[in-house]
Amino acid sequence: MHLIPQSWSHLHILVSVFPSVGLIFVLGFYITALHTKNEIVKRTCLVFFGILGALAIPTYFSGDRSMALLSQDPKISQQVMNVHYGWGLAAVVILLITGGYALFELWRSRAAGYLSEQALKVTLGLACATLVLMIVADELGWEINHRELERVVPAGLASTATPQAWSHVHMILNHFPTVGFVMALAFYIVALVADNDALKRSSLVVFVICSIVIVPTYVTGAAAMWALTVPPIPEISKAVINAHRDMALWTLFGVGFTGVAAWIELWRYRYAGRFSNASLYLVLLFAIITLAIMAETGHRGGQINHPEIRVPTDVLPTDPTAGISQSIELLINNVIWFVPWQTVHFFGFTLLFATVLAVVLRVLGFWKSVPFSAVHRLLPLGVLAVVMNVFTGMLMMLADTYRYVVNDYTFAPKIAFIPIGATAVLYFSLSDRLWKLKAGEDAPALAKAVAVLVLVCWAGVIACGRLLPYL
Amino acid sequence: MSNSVNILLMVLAVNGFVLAVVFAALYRMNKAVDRFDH
Repeated sequence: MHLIPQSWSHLHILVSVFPSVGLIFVLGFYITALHTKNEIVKRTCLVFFGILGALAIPTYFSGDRSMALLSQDPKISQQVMNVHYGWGLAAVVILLITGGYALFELWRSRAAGYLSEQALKVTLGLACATLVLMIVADELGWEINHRELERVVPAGLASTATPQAWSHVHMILNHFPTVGFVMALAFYIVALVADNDALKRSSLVVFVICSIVIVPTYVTGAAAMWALTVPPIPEISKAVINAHRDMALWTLFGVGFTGVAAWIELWRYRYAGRFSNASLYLVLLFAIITLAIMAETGHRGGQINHPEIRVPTDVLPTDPTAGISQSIELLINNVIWFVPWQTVHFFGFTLLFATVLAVVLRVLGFWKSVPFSAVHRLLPLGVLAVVMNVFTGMLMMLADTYRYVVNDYTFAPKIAFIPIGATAVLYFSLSDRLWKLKAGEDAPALAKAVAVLVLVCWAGVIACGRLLPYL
Repeated sequence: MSNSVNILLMVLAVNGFVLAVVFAALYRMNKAVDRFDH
């Protein structure tokens, strides 16, 4: 693992994602706390705003030192760096104010005995403003080094080249399951120490969300591999990409295991009304192991196109045919391996769609004589089916990533439908109003709208998947 | 012909294994909440 940065640029890349992407997750927890009026979650969020505010200092200094070093590189544009510096400085200042204000409110509330509603709203406003500035600063920051995103492919090679938009999307998307996972783990540890059920529940939900987002992250990574290697870019090594891809596969499984374990505990909580300590610590164990794998994956990803973070002791892979992903590709290309897993994939869809249909039809009012809790019992079947299909889908994709990801027009919409549909299904697992829905009662309008969305998304996934060989 | 038989056996083996694991997990999960569900 490479958790300790050995250069200013490396430190800047690592630390700067937390005040931006990390802030989105803290804001998610904070808005939930304001909505549910949970004092402990509110206070925990204020502490995290303070911590993110403190990160403004290493973010600024590491960025400033990196600029000094990168100025000596003729390939780096001084103008682009200056624009990033200006927006970055504004973002860092308002981040410091947000963190300071949140900590001040915490300190004030100790004497007053309560948190001021007005101060909580001001903190929310400041955090949102910080986020907007951080997004602009981040986007400009990526432009400094990622010149490959502007590459123009010669006309003769354009038909085989993959759009660099995939690389761009992957660079943005990969921070969500990774930074989100770190934030979820931090909140989860606080929840376990404080023994707070609302915080445990929120953290488990974020683990599940990370496991949903990791799917498009992995797929866009596969597309980015093609965008960066066909036609080849001289500074980018296929062997280094493959090393990253191998760890990404383990990360996919690690995040998936953690997410499923977290979801099962959320589902069980509905019936038991309390969490099982054994299950909670199992999730913690999965999360810690996954975080270690994820750290290595992220580092290997950074090595693809960040020569400034490499150190003389780094040994980069040189064999572009080595690695577990390549071995799986060779194996799954054999019909005797492909067809059995494809059949599992079809079983998965039937189980998933049957579950979705039963739940959705109850919510839409087809079987009002059935209480919602009865169809809630079916949800694990749908989740296990999703696990089957993500696993088998990844295997099948590895058989010919170029054809699926780049050449088939229906693959991108299929992958876009999956996280939307899965997140909407999460609503069925969590909604208190639906859980209390008795036989004969009508579901709220919002639930009906989500039900339609779920149905459209999963029907879209199946239809797009079936059209893959033809479009 | 023998290749087709091999494919069929592999389909049966892989699908049998995966579905058995899924339904065993489903059985355990439902059994765990049965005592709370009235």
